[in-house]
Amino acid sequence: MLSLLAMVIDDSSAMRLILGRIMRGLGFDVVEAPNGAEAIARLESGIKPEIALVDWNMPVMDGLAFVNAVRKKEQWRDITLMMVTTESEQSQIVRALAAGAHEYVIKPFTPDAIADKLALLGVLA
Amino acid sequence: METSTMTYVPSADDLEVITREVWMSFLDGDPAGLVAGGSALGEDRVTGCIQLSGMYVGAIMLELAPAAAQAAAAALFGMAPGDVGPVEVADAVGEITNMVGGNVKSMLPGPSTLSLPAVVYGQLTLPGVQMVRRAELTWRGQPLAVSLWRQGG
Amino acid sequence: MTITAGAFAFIADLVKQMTAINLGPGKEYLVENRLASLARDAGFRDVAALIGRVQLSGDDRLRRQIVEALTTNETSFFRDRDPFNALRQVIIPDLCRKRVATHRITIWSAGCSSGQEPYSIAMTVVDHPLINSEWTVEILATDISQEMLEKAKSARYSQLEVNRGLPAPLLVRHFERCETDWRVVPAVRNLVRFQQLNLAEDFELPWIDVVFLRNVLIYFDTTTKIEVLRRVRRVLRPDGYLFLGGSETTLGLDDEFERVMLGSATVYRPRGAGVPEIPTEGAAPIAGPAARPGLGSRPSSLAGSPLPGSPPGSSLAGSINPPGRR
Repeated sequence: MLSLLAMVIDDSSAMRLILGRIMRGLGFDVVEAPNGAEAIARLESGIKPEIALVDWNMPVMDGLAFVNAVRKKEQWRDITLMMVTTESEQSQIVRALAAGAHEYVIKPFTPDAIADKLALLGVLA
Repeated sequence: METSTMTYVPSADDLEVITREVWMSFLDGDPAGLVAGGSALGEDRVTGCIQLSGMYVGAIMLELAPAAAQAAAAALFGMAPGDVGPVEVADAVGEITNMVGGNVKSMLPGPSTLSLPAVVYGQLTLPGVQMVRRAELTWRGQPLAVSLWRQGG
Repeated sequence: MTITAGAFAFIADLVKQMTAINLGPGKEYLVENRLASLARDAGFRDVAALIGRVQLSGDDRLRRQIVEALTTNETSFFRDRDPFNALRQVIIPDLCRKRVATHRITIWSAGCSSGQEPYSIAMTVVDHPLINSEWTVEILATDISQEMLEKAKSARYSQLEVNRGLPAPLLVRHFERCETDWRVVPAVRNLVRFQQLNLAEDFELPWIDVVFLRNVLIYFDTTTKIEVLRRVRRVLRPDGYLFLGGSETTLGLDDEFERVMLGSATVYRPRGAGVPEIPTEGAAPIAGPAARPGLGSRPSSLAGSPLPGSPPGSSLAGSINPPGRR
């Protein structure tokens, strides 16, 4: 049985480690990127994750720009986009959802919160 | 743009609640691990800082005793404290400051932009900003502090 | 003070058996903290001694107190999801057809704790396309604890609490920031009426259409469970619905309920109520990619081909074969 692939995009290596661990624990294979631009590059190289966990504030290309870029491309339409960020104003969440993010987790979070959201999305049975 | 005097300013308690949520999620599951008060920070400290611009101009700082910074990095990375180096400490303190700062920002007048975090060894002086709130805490016997700064005071 | 691995495993197992909640590794501190005051009040030297006693004797009451102490705050919004999907896709449409005369629906969240359940029900109602201004939907939320009721009435939840189980679109639609917390907006809050009520004693309530009695019975001994179910059935309309917790059943406790599957949700109805109409293309689940274009097909609890009904009154009753999963 093939594992699903998750892409973790965050400029903090600690956060990539934490999220990677959580996603592996839930049965995903994990690829990482330290910012939106590198994540796009990985997608363009043919990597096709089921889901991307996206931080907002990152250098080079931030999470919102990444979401916008992904939602513009037909071949990336199937990728579930979940923002995982410390931005927690209502208006920010609305912006992210309007740009095409499917879910939104506010940092700090617990592993249960990630699992919950994945279940809501139907990515995790 | 004047800051309205009617605007809610986060209290020291609010800063503590936010810090506590970060600690409990990633660093220490024991709700009694982080306590208010305790001894003051010495000159040796690790300071994480994020700056705010937009409707609110200022900064949020997280200062930790070196041993606390090391323990925090160890907890975040899942390493033994003896194994963490300056790179891990900087990343960890930066991300923790990012999380605390982002949540404090959501209580401030907006919209405002959060900068990427900066981490230094020692005390950080930001010209032109005044401290408006500070919460002093203790974790595993080591002091730490979270403070909110505003341009112009 | 740290309990042994064996003691923790015993407790985790006990909790799992009684509530289906998993206390994974890393939760040892939770067990120690939450049981500390229970141990003290029950006259034990420490938590280890308390656990030791329960391991040795079959002290039922102590077991339940331990489980309660450990699981009281494990509630979350849209807990277990399936009941809320069933409410939205099957039950509300069914009641909208059946209650045309009164245009009134009453839902009871029994043992509402800190309020996530009644507010989840309220959000489901507010967002429902069939519920317009002609309908009066009342959500009654009761608990024995006045403290819990006060917390629930405040409708304030922390960042960590709203991260659990609550789809982001619902968060921005039905909550507003309130200092470090998020507060349920008045439009949703106003559907819920809070009242103190002890299920173990006789009570008076209006006729109820849907009861949520989830993860409450576990705190009672068998005799009381039977009494509680009898009292609940007395106020439930003959064509009403009862939801229990994931690991609970009326089997062996009350013959007058029959189990009905609504997709992946288990619901109990007074005997003879039968099976409601299951929509073939229902409203989208509470949250789920099924409603969004371009996301490929994913399992949705009630989408798919028409489900076969079954004769009313059959024992082990009205089960509907769930649709094939991906």
